[in-house]
Amino acid sequence: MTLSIIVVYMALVIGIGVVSNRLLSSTGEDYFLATRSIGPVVLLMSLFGTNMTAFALLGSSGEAYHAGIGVFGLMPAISGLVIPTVFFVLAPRAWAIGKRHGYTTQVEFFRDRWGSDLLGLLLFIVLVALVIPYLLIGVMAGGVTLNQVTFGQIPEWIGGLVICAVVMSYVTIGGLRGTAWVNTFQTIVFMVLGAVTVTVVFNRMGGVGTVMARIAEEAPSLLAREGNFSHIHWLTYSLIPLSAGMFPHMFMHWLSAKRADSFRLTVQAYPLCIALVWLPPVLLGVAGNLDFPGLIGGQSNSILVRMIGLHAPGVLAGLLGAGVFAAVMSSLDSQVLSLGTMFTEDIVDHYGYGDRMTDKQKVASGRIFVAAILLFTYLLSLVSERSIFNLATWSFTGFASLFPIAIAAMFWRRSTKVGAIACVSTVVVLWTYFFIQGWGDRAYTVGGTGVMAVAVILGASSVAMIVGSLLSSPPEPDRVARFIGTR
Amino acid sequence: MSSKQWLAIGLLVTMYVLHNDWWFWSDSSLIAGLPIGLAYHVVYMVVTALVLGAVVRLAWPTHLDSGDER
Repeated sequence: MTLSIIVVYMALVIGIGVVSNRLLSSTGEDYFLATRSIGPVVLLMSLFGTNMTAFALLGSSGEAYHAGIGVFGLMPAISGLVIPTVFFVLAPRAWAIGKRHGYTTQVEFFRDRWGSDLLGLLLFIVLVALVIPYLLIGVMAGGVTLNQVTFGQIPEWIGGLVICAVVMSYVTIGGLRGTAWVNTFQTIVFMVLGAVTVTVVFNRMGGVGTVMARIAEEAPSLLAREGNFSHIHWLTYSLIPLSAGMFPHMFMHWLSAKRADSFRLTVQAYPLCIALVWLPPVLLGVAGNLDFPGLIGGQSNSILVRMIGLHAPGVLAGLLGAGVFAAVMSSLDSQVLSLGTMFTEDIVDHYGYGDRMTDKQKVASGRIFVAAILLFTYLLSLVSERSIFNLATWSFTGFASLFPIAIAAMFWRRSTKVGAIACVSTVVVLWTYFFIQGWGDRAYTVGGTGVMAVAVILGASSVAMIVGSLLSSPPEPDRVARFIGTR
Repeated sequence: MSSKQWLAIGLLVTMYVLHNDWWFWSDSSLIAGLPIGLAYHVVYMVVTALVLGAVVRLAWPTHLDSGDER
């Protein structure tokens, strides 16, 4: 039964991709940006679905299992404020500039902003490298979920393979329009199923109050933040959601909007959507200490699925499996599509091959790159045993540290390509250093002080942006006017 | 910047400060069946949605709705 539900769900998702393909024109702009026609509701759902991944379901429950209810305040609560604020400040401007000048990708946008091919190439490499751990958590989550809901009958490598195959199918069939539609459907699925799951499981455990009262007796430290987080860790973690301003897949969805005011609904509804999705996994992760005590490190990635398997096997386990797959695939699809688009536009097209290619050939090159990235990520998932929460945090740290270039591009007239290149280079060097330092340590902070690496890297990249710009010649007024307007 | 834009910034900064609820930091008591720190942040997110609604009304860059970034 469980497997049947998941199989039916996968078929449904591919079906939506096929239907959207019937509405797809053969131009590159429709495949990559849905001809900039996405309205407010689909925009909200696709942005939100893209943003919420295995990190929100399996990662949050796994982390709450170890660190308690504070995980909810640490990540979703601050994300509910910072991410919509980032959208408010950047998205309508990026959309307006992108529409006016016909931009398709983030790399194209920044390359043209400062007139630097070197910056474009550097950003392409850095963005692809940072997306890979983000893709990896999705593929790993697919494996964990299918393995747990079938009580170990299906090995993890098959779940990861299924996720990659289904995403590859509907992304290549439907492009961004298909991805936006599938994401809307999948976002509704995982929001509804999360609420149903937590209700059913807690009812069977005697109610939320009963479960929390038992936790208060057996593991009271999980109900407070003292001992689980330091104040400085809490404060510096609040920089992580700035990553939403530099995700290439989010940027691509920004450009797909029909109008600038399409973002109004997203900004207002985002905190409620985040609360709905994150609350059930955090509660179930904490409650998991009663039924599955003693899990170590990355073993807790599967606590959500274990709880469902114990308290609500059968239909609900199948639905939950579909819900987790929905959350994973709704991010994975946009991520691989954005990488494919950047490869087509910023490498193939920009370096001259595109002149000899038709629109269909350009789309095909994007599809081949998507397949290659998925294959690489899948192979990586077979040898990775990291915590999902930890992997995602490192990926987000890199993106958040690049945030100064987004702000400088849209608001700082005096910013230059030297400043932007210095900013990206600083992120590359410091991120690599801290990643190596923190490898294998789930609770790594800078020198054990509680300060997240993102605070140091973001501070340094901001300084590099400012100093590099002020020490170099001012940019051409025409170029500035195209992005920020005239005074 | 206009006074409405300053008000919007003030609201966002206030919400950021309120996120850091040191006063419940070591409190593990339950309220309506939920730990108080968790209940606080659930309410916080509802209030955040209301505040962002106000920010959109106060300071939305309406000049961009026509596709003009200037």
